[in-house]
Amino acid sequence: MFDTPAQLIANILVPAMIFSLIAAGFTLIYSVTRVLDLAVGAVAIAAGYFFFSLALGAGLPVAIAALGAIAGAVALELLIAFVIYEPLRRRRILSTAISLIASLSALHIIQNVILATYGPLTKSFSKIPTTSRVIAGAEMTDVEIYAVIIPTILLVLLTYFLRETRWGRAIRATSDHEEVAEIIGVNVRKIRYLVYAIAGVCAGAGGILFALEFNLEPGMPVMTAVRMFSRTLIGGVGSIPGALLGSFLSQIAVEFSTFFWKTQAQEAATFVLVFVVLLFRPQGILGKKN
Amino acid sequence: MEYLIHILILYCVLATLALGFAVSVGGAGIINLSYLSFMAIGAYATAIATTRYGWPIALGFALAVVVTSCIAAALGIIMKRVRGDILVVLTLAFHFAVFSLLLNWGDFTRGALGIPGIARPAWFETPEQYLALAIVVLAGAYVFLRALARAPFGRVLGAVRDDEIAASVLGKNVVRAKRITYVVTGAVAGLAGALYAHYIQFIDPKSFHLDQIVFLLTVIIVGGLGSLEGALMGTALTVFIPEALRFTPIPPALLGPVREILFSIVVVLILIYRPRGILGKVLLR
Repeated sequence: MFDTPAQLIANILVPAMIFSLIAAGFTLIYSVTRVLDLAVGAVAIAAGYFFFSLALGAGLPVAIAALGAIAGAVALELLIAFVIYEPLRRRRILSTAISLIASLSALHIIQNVILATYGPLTKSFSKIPTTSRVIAGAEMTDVEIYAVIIPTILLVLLTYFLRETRWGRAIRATSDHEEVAEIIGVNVRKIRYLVYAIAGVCAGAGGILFALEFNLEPGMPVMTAVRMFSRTLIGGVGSIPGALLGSFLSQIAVEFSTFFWKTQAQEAATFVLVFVVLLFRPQGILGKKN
Repeated sequence: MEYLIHILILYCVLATLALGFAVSVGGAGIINLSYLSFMAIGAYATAIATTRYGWPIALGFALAVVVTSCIAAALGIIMKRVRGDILVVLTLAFHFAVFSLLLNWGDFTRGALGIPGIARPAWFETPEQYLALAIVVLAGAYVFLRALARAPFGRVLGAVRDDEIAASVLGKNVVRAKRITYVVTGAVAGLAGALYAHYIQFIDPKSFHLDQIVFLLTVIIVGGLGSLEGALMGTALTVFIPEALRFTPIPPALLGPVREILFSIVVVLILIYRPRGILGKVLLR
């Protein structure tokens, strides 16, 4: 199978943009709270399932169902923060390793709740009609076009928010130095919840697009979390441009390894990339050294 | 009775596995999340050698230990300079690399199909006999690791865990201590993997997926870090108590998810309210 270069670019662009969005939330949480919140991957897939229930179960219009699912994702992310990460922080036992273990547990809980609620079968979105069209020589469905546009818009908005607004400056201050930020009057607890909510929005939107493009299976929360994590590791955990770079590099690696070996080698290529990058640059390509 | 023996054998396998993990995490402070991949490597080594190349099973067990020791040694060398959060992350990445290798190396590992028809060793064919073997392996691992922990080497490990720089200032060879920990714990995991493969007689990559890492973390976090007895007790609690769920009116289809959810909730509660675990001596950092 030989794709045209344009098709190859489209094949890389769609998953890379979806994962950039999910990973951006994850990486923002880490940069502000030092929590490696793998549960973000599960929140994304949970949003996909919320969307499935609202759009196909309750029959709501797609846009309203999507907003509802994003709201659900935000609520879920805030709940995890409130029940798990904040109590750990209050007791001063929240190291990155502990947060990783706690978030693995949260991820595991969500995955099994999904399995218990929706059963083991694949949930397909084929009932939502979609047309495909040819853009610059690449065939793309409507969903795939949205999967490029919506993450781009949200990431631009997020960057603007962090750079230019008062809240964004407070977030960056907390990320740079929590205690100093607190001294100059930033309510860091509120900022942390704000960051979890932003990550919920990113994960929710990314998860819905992911579900529309790849359908839903109960094993997906773990796989999504792992992919999101490996992509941020490559780019540098804590850096939003890093999330973007990591997503593209690993998607390129995946596409090319599939092209050359014609197998499902897929994620193996990403992990090789992670390993090589981290050995020479433990903080990731764009990560800051701490 | 058969059911009870089955659970006891599984307990021995998992307790052996947990002992090694306890030494790595609690003893030396190496949160090696790729630990489970060594169980997988051991299981696959003996499964492939005995089913495909007709090796005797005893040699299969030996191969499992040798292969995992070598790969663990290589990992230890790669991780020489790595510690803390990056170590956790890198070892998790290593685990997923091994996992996707097992899943995708089609003609060698048979990918998702798994390897069926792994024989039980002669003299240990019935579950009762196999239980005897499992108990011997568990007891052997316990005695060996306990001797290791009591020896001066065990104190060096504790020093490395508590303060790496202080340990090296006192002239302890930190790098060597860590490398030995990787090799020993990797070998124990490989042995547990071989024990598992020859009992269940079928392995596939899914048997060694993230669920099992969560299970292992549950075991050592519940039991407590830095204590071999804690690992044994943590395994007992996490193996026997969920089995009791079978006798409750929960529908069988929900049993698996409910058990996994309970595990994870327990981990979170212990992390928050008793981070030392039940028998633990040290705090996870």
